Amino acid sequence: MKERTYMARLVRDGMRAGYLLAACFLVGVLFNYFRGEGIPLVATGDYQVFVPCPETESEAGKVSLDEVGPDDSISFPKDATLVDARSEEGYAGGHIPGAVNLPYDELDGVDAEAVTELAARVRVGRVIVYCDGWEEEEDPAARYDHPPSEYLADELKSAGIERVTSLTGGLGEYVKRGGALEVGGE
Amino acid sequence: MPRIPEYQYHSAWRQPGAAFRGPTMLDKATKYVLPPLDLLARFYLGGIFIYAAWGKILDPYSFALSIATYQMLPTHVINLMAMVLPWLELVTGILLVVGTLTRPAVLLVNGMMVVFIYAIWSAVSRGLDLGSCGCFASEEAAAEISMGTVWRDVWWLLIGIFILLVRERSRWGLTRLWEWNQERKWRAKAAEDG
Repeated sequence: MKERTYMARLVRDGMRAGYLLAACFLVGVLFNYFRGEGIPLVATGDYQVFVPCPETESEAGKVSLDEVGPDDSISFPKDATLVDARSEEGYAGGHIPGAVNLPYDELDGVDAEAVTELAARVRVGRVIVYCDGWEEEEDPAARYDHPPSEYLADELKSAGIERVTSLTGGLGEYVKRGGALEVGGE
Repeated sequence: MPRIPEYQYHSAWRQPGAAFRGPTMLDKATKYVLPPLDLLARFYLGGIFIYAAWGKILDPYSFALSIATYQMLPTHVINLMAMVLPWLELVTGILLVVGTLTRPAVLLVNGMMVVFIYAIWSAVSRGLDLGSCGCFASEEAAAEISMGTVWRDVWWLLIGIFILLVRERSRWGLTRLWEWNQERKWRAKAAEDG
């Protein structure tokens, strides 16, 4: 019998592997179709992936708009750096004038380099972090216990920024009190 | 000099055309050491794959959730993968154990191992806290995901590569059994014909 070369055998076995794959594909899909408690071929919604939130070492405090300025004319302290914890899109759509954007993702945390950079910049001043702001009872199905600004404030505190607080009520409260917004990127 | 049947010794180690002076140490090793080693490796890897597949076939939703946790695939592909992958594991595992279509099966196994290694390595390097890798359905086998999991899969991949490299004629299994039977029949017929 003619001896096949190594490559010829590999190609032949590769093709057989392809047939096997196709057969398993068919069996898997058919088995799932005919079994009682099969799953849909295409997921109808996103999977709820539970991943522990990033842990921080320190806990930052909170500050309300009453504390930072009078009701009718909201003015933040001159030495305060405002940090917008929302996404880049949210920030571009409207933010408190002078705020810097530091998007906080509940799963990935925050860009470590950006935090270090901010920490170097605001060594002496204070930092006020805000997000959209929501009441806990508003959304009982919310996956997170606290608004993102609180998590970001904790992260910044852990990164070495001493005077960091999160703004209670966030941007929602700020707008409700007639605060001006700045539109556009940084 | 009697003709040495091709299946008996592994001429791959000899120069073509060289005179045959009896089996060399390498011939003996390939004849007596490789087949049991290969059998052991196949049972080990095949057993792992069958064990891993079983729980996933019984509970496809949990497996789909495990795949989703890696955050690597688009949502519409996850369910299809959760349906097909366990069957692929089961079929390749059985083929490895029985020793037929071994090379196609081990090609698929190695392909899967490469994908698993990349997925786990990627999850570990992204710092995803998955709890377990989702490789096995049962709780006790679900080890905490870490670089150790990656190295474990690399070890299994190495075993797969070893199985791939072993020649078919050195493999104890259904295919070889069938060939032995054919050879036996052929010899009986040749003896009958004189």
